[in-house]
Amino acid sequence: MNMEEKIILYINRAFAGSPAAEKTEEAKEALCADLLEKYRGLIEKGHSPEAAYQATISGIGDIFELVDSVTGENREKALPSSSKILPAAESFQKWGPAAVCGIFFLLWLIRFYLAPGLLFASGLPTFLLGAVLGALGMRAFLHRNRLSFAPLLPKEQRPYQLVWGGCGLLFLAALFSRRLNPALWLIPAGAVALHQVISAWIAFSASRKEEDFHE
Amino acid sequence: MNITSDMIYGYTDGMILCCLSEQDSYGYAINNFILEKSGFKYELKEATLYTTFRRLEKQGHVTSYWGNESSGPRRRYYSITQEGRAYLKQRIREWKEIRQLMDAFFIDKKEEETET
Repeated sequence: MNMEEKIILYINRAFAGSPAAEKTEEAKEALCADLLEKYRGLIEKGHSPEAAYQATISGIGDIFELVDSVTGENREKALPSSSKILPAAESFQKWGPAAVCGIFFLLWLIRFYLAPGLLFASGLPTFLLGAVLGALGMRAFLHRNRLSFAPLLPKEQRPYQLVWGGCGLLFLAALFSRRLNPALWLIPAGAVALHQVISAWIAFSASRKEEDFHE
Repeated sequence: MNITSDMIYGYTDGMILCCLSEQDSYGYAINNFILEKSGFKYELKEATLYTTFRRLEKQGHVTSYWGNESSGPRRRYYSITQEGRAYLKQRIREWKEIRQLMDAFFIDKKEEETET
């Protein structure tokens, strides 16, 4: 890989993880054009490729200041209108249904844990009723605010979501099963172990990709 | 004397607008203009330069467009707007006032120093 490719790689890495948006791509392209011109100018002045590369990179300064200024603007544009400050009435209209579901959910939670047997039969059906209420509240909130589930579940974190979601369900199932109760502690411990394995695998894959790029 | 960015802080936008008031330009050329104009004593960091571009564009002082380079990454050209020119005039007025104010302090000191 030559020094010009290294400059482009440096910029791509700095912007890695930023939300993909037209503004981000434009900023990257314009910055690369300027840096490559600066690098070539230094070579013409007699610098060695390594020295020119070092001078070009150190001349950028705080790259994250720039990344933040670009991606901050993207985030601002991506925010739905509902996230801006709303008048009280409009705000209540938007949040009302979710708040009602939330209150029901909290009441259920309190009843389930502090006073079981008062209103409903305790156990799995009651737990599921609360879970459904919570899910409905969240669905109502997202629907009324025209939001989607997608930003809540970023794609790059999918393996972790599956592990923790799966272990969470297993934990709930174990809560209601007397046989599995003694082994309850094994489930979160297993989730932590799986999380570490996934992290290591992702880091390993990234390093392999980088090696391939260098070759 | 080596000029640090702290000393210039607050005047970066004025320097960039000054360059653009002559002709449309792009990042590398603007940085070269500042470097030459300062007698090779001051060079902007690209991060500062681009952050300032974004701020000026957001405030409506500059607009930008792509150059038509046939090969390699395209250059982003910046152009000063009427609001930008008015803002630059205001910055120049401010600077003259600040300079007068500081001269009232430093010129006397300079005379004292030369006497000793």
